Amino acid sequence: MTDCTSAEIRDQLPDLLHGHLDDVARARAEAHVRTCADCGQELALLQALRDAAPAPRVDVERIVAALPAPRRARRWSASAWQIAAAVVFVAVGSSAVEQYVQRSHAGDRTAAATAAARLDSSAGASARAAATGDVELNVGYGYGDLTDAELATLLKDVQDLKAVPMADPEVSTPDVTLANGGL
Amino acid sequence: MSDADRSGDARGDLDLVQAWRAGDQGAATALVARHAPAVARFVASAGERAEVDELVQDTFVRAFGAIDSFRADSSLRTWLFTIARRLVLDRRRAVRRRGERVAISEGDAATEFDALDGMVADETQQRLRRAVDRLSPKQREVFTLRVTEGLTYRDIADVAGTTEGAARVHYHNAVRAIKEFLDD
Repeated sequence: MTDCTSAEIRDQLPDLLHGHLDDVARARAEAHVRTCADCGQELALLQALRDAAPAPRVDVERIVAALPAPRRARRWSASAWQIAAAVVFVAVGSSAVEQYVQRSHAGDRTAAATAAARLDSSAGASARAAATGDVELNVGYGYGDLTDAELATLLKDVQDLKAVPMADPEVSTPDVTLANGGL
Repeated sequence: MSDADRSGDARGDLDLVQAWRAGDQGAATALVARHAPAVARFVASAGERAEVDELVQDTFVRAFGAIDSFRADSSLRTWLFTIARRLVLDRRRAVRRRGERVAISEGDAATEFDALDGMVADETQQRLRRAVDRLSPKQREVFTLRVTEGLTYRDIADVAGTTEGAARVHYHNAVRAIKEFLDD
């Protein structure tokens, strides 16, 4: 069995075999093969080799059963969690900023009074205030309107949050106002 | 018979992938039915005939698990061949680490698969298969992808991790070697 000298046509024989040539190339290759005994024999050989290739049986159903579930649902779930976490993170951050601003303003207005109150806010005073239930904890804008249940839910969300802050939170001392005006 | 005929679904591969991602399990069945026989032939030609079932299944599990990374720069089948080839190589490395004999080498003509398959194949077919089995692993890989599966040299280069030019050389050397074997 000899080889045709037309390397281009020989290169195209597998494509001709599989019907992968466009109309022009196919017509040209077929015309060549009709007049070239070497290429005719080689094409026949390639066809015989293709047909003789082992054809292992495959169990389609078994393969399909082993496939993973589409990621679409899983991805949406992850996105929803990330969005929820981001919302909580922003809310907590906003409250911290608001707290800082409020405290700054309060400091401007009543610097002397606050200083005096802090001096008076000894352990004994705090204990008495707590005992009478007159302590108002200022934790930021809007949170004073939350019910206990809402506050508990928010705190739980924050505790469940797995994100780590970029830096340690600012140390803050809650403003304590005594309803009875002091000691 | 076309791929679509073979799978019983006229939709293209990309449409079937989208349908599967949307929850259409029938689309997965169509894709597997369409491409699994070709992947099995490729794996068998690589010499992993005893592990064809497992390797073909693993190929599809990997592919469907990473379908988001399929960019359609090549055909889905070419991508599957690439995954299958990687799994075959991984398996060989694992076998080698365990110190087991890897039954794939140049001229590895007589195999159990051939012996069993030979019961139903006529003498001419067996001779043709022996001619292919005697090729070097790289020649056999390229020849199978080119002749049995009809891939272009470019796709073969992607699958086999080589260049188009090298793939062309391997193909023509393979054809010459087969002719010489059959002429003897």
